Amino acid sequence: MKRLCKILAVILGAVLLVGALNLQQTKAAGKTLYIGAGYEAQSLDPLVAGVSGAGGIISNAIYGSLWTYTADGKVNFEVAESYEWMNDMKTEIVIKIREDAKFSDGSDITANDVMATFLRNLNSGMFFYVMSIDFQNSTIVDDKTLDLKLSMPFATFTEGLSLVKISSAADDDAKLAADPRCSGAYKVEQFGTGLDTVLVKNEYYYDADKLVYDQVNITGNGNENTAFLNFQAGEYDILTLNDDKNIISVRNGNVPGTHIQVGDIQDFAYICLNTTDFPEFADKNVRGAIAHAVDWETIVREICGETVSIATSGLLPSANWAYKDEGIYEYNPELAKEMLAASGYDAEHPFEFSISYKNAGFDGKIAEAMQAYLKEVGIVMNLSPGDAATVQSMNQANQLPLVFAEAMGAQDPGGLTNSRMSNVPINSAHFGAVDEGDTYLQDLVDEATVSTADQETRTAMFHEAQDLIHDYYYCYPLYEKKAYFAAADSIGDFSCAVDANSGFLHLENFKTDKVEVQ
Amino acid sequence: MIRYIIRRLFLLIPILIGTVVIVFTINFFSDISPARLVLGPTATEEQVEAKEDEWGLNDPYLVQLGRYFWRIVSQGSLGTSYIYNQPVLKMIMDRLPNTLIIGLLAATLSVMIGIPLGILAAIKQNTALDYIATFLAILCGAIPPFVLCILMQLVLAVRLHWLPVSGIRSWLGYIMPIIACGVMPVAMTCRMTRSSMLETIRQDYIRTARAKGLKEGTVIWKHALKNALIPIITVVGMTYAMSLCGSIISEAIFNIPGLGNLMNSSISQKDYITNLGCVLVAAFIMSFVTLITDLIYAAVDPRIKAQYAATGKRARTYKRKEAAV
Amino acid sequence: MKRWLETRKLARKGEIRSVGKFSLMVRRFCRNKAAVASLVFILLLILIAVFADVLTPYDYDAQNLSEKLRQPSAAHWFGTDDFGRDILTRVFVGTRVSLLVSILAVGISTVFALVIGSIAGYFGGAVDNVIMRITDIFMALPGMLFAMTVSAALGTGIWNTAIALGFTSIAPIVRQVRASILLLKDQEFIEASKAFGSGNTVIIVRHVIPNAFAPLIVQIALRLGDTIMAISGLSFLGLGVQPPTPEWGNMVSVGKDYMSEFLPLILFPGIFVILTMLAFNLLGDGMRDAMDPRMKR
Repeated sequence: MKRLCKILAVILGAVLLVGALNLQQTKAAGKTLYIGAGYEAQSLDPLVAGVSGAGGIISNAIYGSLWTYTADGKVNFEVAESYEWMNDMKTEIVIKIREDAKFSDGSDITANDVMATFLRNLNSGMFFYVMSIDFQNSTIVDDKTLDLKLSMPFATFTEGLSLVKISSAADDDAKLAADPRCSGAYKVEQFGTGLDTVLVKNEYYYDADKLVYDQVNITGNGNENTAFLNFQAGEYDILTLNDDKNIISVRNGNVPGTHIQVGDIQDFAYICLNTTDFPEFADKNVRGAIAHAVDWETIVREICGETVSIATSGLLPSANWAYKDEGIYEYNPELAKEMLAASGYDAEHPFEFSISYKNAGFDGKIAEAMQAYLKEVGIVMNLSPGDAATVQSMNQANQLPLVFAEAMGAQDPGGLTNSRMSNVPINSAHFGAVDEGDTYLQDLVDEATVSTADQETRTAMFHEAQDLIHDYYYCYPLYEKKAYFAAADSIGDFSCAVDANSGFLHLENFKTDKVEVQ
Repeated sequence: MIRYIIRRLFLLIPILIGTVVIVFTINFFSDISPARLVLGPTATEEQVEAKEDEWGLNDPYLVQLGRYFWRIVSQGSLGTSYIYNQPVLKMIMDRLPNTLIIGLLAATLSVMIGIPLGILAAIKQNTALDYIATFLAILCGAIPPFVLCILMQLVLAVRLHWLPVSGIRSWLGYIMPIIACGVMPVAMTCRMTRSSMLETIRQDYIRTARAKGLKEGTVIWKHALKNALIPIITVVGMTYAMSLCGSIISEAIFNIPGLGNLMNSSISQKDYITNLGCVLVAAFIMSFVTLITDLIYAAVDPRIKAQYAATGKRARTYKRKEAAV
Repeated sequence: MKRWLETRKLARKGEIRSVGKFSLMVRRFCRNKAAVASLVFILLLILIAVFADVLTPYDYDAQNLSEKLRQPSAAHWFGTDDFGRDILTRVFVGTRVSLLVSILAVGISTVFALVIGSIAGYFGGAVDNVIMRITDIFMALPGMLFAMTVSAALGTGIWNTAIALGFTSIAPIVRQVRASILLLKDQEFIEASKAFGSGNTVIIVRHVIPNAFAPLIVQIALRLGDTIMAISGLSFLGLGVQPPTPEWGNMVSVGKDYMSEFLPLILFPGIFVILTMLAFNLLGDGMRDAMDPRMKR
């Protein structure tokens, strides 16, 4: 028995020794940046990596898009060098690709690669902008020129294309997932389970000299809390933050030597209602009662905190030309009760419904807070929170009367344009009638999206749409927030231009000028 | 004996098939489609259907099940993950070593601490040492694993900076998960050792041994412990089985890229095929460890060895008696 | 029956010291102070669970957003949570939820296991073989994984969690019941019953099950503790019982994010979980020791 223990002790010691000798080294020559994020990247495939967590940062760093947009709507060309609409109908566009655009293995980025990327997006069903491309009649003029024909005009087509990450036509799914040819500023040196993702400069990038960092280490954590703990322990130079608590913590100086950097993307959260599958919500009084029964301002202020501002319109604020400030719904429980009574609901016959939502982030807390307010006016909202996948599934199957939705970026004013797609389950497609049988709102939005009217007319249409949505309570705007990064003072001043379409770092835009610290 | 081992190895197969069938059936009746989740909110019904057909999710129950097993047998493949597009087997094999290392070390440490502690407590029954040891053991068994993990993280990593918060980039990162996985087994092992030893010490043959004038050390180690071993081995076997399968909670908190974490993410993301793969591997590990435990019984107790070696009618009689143990 | 009543009357008067098996067990149990303390604690918990509404001045879902995250004070003995709800109320109501789910889960598994185990043990032969092989398959699945899979399939909530946990712990109890049955089967009073001509069902119900019950009680006590821990674990992972229903596990889950600045949210539910687990463990141990005359403490 004693001998057995001794043997085991020796084995244990040996294992520990081997482990100690195998410390993973990730030192490199030149400047290295350490970034932490809340979620790991499981794949380098731009369609799978997603936009959140480490995946989004990596994706933005290693892939370029044709162009991106700044928060005030200006175009910033990347892989493409220009685009030009060929007709007033805006159904033909010629895109020219940069002469010196190359992949990380030195091969040119050609029009073929761009077209192949569009097709890949189309087949994945993910980006509906590419659905309006008429692939039969679009042509590749030469290696660097593309002539796209659209099957119908689409108001935010170019904004939509800014989301598409260009990958090589020669890479198949498996290669894209683990070892792709990179069209962006950085290329992948190390990627795998349990390892940090290490990116190094893509020497073929057209602006390679301007890149500040030679190497970037990106670590995903299981959740933001762990990421924040790691940041506190000094593991990262930059950390992407979503949780109000953590942001305030850094702002209050709880993590010495760090500060908060604000990225000017637009993230807009709202609640929308499914009036088609849940006819009781087709009643304007019901929708209005909910709108006035809840003290939106208090909820947003207390739950979401200082890092967001309350939203005041049914549309995305960064949809600059389309946005109109409608103001918050007034907190008026008496009015709510009157409206309910007008539709025949009272203490004996309360209005009751059930919702499902994912119990993470602000959604869950807002739902719980809403429940309490609604109870005061006699509306019973039953909560059945679930995991993200279940809720998303129910949502897509139109099984939810009330949905917490989120829209990011300027490419699609609040999801309204989704209404054009007949099967899109996001409930903006169910912005039903203003009155029963009337499809005025729907038609208005459709026309604004696909018409070729000038910008002024289109803006007027969207303003009218927002007035209608506001007056008829089709949507409860929640909050607008920005992208937040906690950054170590020691990396010096940096300015990371944040794309208006996705809230994550664009490492190629790191500069060394001084920047306002907020 | 060899025949027994071979027979048990063959028995593994129906067990594994059974576990896969159970989990597959549970997942089959869920109406959340991973195709819908992967394609996103803008997908049309036709696209969802097409994707589901591509993955074979619309085929009848038996066809899907048959295809799963046939693929294992003919290609040695566990399928491809719906969410990540990578082979399931590769994903599991990338992660399994981490879990195994942590599990092995945690179980071994817990045994090395638990058994001597239990023996000590049994020998010195009703003294202060006994009470302290028992109390500690019970306390360790009563702390929920996630509370322990979070406490350790806050104190050791964030406040004291002795250990990394998460991940296993350096060997230091293994320490907290090992402790977390090892605490409960220490408690169980210690208590089981103690009670088993107490029961053995009361036996007559121990009294005889002492009366014969044997040294106390020999009495305890050579006679009492050997006879007390069977229930202890049961607990130790269970410990290894559970530890090697990975603790889902501690891997989630410390962000270990292991089997437990893969199970967790595959369940929450409705990645059914990865879920099945993980279940298969976990069931295999558990059954294999159970087999080893049974073999160790035979090594320790010649009566059990005889039972195993017996065949035919004698085996059935022995089996019934064995089951009553 | 009459004899028994007379004995009890005399025992109460203190004239004889009853030596019935049950009273011996009770006396042994009472000698174990830790076990008695645990029993008291558990009874206290049950009282809290039943009378939670009366004991606390607030509703468990009464929000007061501007009062959120306050330290313990006279108005809120345990402080307020991130919605301004009283933590004391939520912990007390959480007792009800935790105990309820636990009892349901253990109840489900015990009832099924009792029936299945009895059938397997009593009839033996092919029936026994088939049932034991199926049990082996279930035992090859790691508990947490199985519970999570079933929970994910069924959904969240009190009933679903209870069913998931109950279902996943049937297998080990079947083993236990079957082992007891096997021991009992060869006993003489069964043979006597058979000689009388009683049918199988009668024998199972009237003799086998009650005698198998004793070791089962110990298992139940230990399982109740384990189940409460499992519920907390599931809630922590995002399955199990969801907010706003208060449950210790999901309160700890929320509380861990506030741990550095605001301790009460994780501290109080956490303490309750640990104490409850301790209590059930000690109770189970105490009952086991009381029932086994060879074990001296």
